[in-house]
Amino acid sequence: MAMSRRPIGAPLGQMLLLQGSVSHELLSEALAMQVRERLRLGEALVSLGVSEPTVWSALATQLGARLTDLDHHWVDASLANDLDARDAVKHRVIPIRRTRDAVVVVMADLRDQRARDFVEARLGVRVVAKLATPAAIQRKQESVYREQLEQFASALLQSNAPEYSAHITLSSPQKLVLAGVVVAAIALAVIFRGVFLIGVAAGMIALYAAVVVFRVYIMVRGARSEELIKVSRREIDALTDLPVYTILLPLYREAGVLPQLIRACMELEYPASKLDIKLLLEEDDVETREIVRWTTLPHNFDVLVVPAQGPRTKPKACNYGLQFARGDYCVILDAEDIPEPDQLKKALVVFRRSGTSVGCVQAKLNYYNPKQNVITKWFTLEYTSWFDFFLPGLVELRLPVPLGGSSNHFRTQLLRDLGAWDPNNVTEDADLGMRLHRGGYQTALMDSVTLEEANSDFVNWMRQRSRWGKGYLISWLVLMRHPRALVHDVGWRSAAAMTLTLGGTFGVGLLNLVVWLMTALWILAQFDIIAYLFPNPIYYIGMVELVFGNFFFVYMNVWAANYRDSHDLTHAGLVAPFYWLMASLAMVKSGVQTLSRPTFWEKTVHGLFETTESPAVELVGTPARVSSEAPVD
Amino acid sequence: MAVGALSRPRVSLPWQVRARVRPVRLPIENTLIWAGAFAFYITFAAYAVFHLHFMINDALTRTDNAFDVLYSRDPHLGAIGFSWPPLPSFLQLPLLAFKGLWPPLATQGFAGSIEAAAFSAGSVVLVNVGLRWAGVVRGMRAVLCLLWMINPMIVIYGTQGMSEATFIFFFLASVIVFLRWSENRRASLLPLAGILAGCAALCRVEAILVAFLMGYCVLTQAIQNRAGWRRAETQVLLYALPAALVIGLWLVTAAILFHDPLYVVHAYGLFTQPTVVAPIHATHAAVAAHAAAAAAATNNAYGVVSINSWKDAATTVANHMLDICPAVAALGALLIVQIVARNGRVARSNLLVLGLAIPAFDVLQERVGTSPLLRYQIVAIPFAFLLAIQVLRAVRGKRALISSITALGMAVVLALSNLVTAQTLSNPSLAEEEWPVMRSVVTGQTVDPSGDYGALAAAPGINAQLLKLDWDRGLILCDSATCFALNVTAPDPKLFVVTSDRNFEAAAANPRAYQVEYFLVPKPEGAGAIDRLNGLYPSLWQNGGGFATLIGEGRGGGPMLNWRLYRISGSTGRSIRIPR
Repeated sequence: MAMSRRPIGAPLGQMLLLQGSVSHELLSEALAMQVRERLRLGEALVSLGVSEPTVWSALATQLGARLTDLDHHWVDASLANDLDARDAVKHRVIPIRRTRDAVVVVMADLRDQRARDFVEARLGVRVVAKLATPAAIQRKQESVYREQLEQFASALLQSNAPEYSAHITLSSPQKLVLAGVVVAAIALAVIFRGVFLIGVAAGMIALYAAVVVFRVYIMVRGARSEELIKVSRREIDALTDLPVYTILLPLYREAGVLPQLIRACMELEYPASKLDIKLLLEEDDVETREIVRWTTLPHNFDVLVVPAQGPRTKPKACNYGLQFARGDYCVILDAEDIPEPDQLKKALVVFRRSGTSVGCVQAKLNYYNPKQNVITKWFTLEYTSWFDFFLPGLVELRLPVPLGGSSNHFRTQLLRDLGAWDPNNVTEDADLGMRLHRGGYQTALMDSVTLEEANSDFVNWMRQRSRWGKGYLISWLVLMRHPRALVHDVGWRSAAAMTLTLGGTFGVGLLNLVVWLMTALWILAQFDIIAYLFPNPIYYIGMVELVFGNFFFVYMNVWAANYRDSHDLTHAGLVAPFYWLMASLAMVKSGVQTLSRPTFWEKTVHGLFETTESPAVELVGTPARVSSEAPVD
Repeated sequence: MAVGALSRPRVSLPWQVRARVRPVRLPIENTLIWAGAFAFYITFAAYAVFHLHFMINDALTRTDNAFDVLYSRDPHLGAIGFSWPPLPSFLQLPLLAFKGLWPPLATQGFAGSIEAAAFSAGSVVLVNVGLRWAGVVRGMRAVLCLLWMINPMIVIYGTQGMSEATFIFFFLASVIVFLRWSENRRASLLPLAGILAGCAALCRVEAILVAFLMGYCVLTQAIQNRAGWRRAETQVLLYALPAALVIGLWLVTAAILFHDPLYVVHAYGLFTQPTVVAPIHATHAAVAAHAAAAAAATNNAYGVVSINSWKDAATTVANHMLDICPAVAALGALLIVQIVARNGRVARSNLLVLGLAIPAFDVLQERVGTSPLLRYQIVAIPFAFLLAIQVLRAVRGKRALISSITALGMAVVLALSNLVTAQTLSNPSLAEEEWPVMRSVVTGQTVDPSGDYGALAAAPGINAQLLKLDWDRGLILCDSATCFALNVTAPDPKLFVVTSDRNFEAAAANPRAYQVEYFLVPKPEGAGAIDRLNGLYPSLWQNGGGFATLIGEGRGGGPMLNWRLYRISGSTGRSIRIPR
């Protein structure tokens, strides 16, 4: 076994000082940071703005080695691919060629004995180490390990646990059951005719009642709940030994929000040296890549380009970026998000307090443009009800929590163990929340808010909502592949809650149109067929649901406006039934797309809300085209 | 690796992660108070109904309304009779479901007594809650609760299924919740206040004004609490929406059933009753005398008078309130002094507004025309106790001597007021509905059998006679406004076609088409004058109206004890368009 290199030159800082690459003040600051944040001096210097090549050149000198220009170096790809790409990324190594009795491996740290041991164990030969900068190694890894990385990002869950993957919408048994139900329905309709239709009406009312009662109960419990974990300033200040925290930022044709994104990350109250920010770009998003290329990004921003193959979705991009995550914890943020500056530290406090049983800490989401128009007002009230009432109710009752699409904080390794996000699921967040619960982990809610941009355009809103409806339905279908196993894993309560939350959201949204239409027809014309289909008991239950259910949800909008001190939204809350009509129409589209294009991700356009500040970067080229095959959100 | 993590056994969340563990507090004190008060009221109710034979007709009609929902020929929810505030009848439905196990629930209207006792006991609990909020120590709370509990008018209406017991409960509850919100501004109290105010309106129609004015009070208090207009609007909505839903359900149901959401106003006539305009001075005795004269003159059970001067009307109502509870004057004066002295002006003004809302409504009624029944001003009693709570709250935290003297003073004032109540209720010229039971309690003798109970007592016998006459078990049509006693005591209520049946009007117009064989009519005098059949066929009682044959009659000495059973032998000559 080769021994790791011992330094043979002067101390690193002294060398850089003598070279004139750093000033005394900068070096002092780096040394203080090294002690304070328990970093290596080189890492501290890089975080303070000294370029990686400069620092690594000095390191090479110190170690008596040469810095390899990996960007212009040939690499034996077949040799490199003898290693698992994820491990290679984790250890920051890449084998480049064989020699007679050894293999030449480029490493970011020549003194990393574990990395050496790993390669030797995998390849079975002696390692001859060369030094290169971490960024160069990563660029080369992205190129050489492209296929592996893309495969892991696209198909890991599908290959390891296909029963949890939405790569198919309906399993074969489900198709058989569905066919059987259709045949049975036709047979019953022929045999029993009117009675069958009454049964269908009764079933519809019963489903409606179940979902409405469930929602009402959860929201009332949630409104009174104290499950929202508050983290005090004292606890934040008492934090020590901060780990590296990875932030995954998928970006697709959203260069316009890049300045806001950078600003939000820089304002995070977390040591910059401990932030591992992954900007995830799509390979075919030439425009955004070009803009990012010409943008001066903070040193802790890491640009990763997701290969343009396989499913073209946000979860796939996140899976790709997860493979490069260095943090013990990670969080996903959307491009337009503005999290509270202390959110990462709050999440860390919660994780440390809770031990291993908490798999995810979810922050609340809300909007920074609530008053833009009536759609944003409705959306804001809906989000307030969801994150301030519904989710706390689920947490209080220990029921599975459908995660929000942003500001989910995870222990990185646990996220990998669970299979990360399903790249074939358009609501990968909700799906992951179910898998978390199924794995025995809890989701905690913390009192921290991330502000996003509410959709203000009707068409854009419909695209987004139909995707959510489709995703919820598909997530539910995935869960229902093995219902007995599901009940065995999570119990009846949680299984029922999953059905009512996911399937119920889609189902009730769709049924709303039918129910309202029939109610309107009854009030206006009192058609006999409606009286026939709804005999007294069914009629009364339906009426009670209609009146009390609608009243309750309108009332909760007013409550939400008061709760958030956003009293300008009250009037919009009173006319929320129009918003529900929009949602119902979106569910129709969801249903159609579930059958025709289940994995199609409709791009949500962001940046429709103009801020007072002008962007530092301007879009170049043609405006973003929202094509029918547009991939990533 | 993914599958391995997914097969991990489930663990529960350690307690440290939860924000706070909420302690569970059991309401032991209030439960014991309720149980004790309920035992008191139900015991007195049993004594009054079964031993003294005390019954107010209106109580039995409410039981009959609920009875029709479950046991009539046409059981349906609308049979509750949404013309009047329906909640007291609704609340009897679960009790009447057990009529088979214990018939007096229906036949003696005891379901209403149980309901009234339960809500009256609830009112005692509310008084305790209010006093505790005011910082009164347990011993003095017990004294004041006892004074409330034994107030004669509260006791009487805690034994009968009238609307007073439920109304007082919801009125007290809504005002106490409002007062607490005024102080602690907890938003969760607003919908509760709204629901309670709405329920009060579903017990007494005058309480709609209270519900409306409470919204105004929420607005003024919100502005006093330095909320902006938008915030104040939101808070008003948080209160008003539940109240509007509760009241709106009633009005919409009335609109569906009667095609008139304000049916309660137009039909039974808060403002359309026949009136005898009388320029009178406003003492209750004078008003009562005029009402009696009006009853005789118009052949009505109740005399309706209107007072043709606002001043006199207001004075009349004020006198009624003083007759019932003079403490309201002393405590009201104290409140006004505090308001003038700018001491919590808005909160105290709001209490005044809420307490005087119903008397104000009554003044309007007195001007337009109403029966001068004493119980219409029963709100004086809860208002007095609310004033006492407010006064005691104001001295909370002050020196023990001051708070003790104040509490003692309250007790003395309320005790003396109770004595005045007892005296008023013993006066037949003032308390025509209450004095019979007061006298019976003192003398131990039963109530005059020619009174309301008489009809109930005679009903089983009348039913037996009807069954003998109705040998072929043909359907008997009668107006439940007058035959309710027969309905609830009938061995087979499905033999009767009553007013709540959806085809009643059609069957009354064309009985043979609906298999109705008989008409049962009371003598058209007193209460019988309002019978629907007597209204449709004025000559029915005299000679069968030209289409029916007399086959039997009964004669008695009180209302509803004179009746005739006619067999339909021809066409009534009426046609009727049944609205969809």
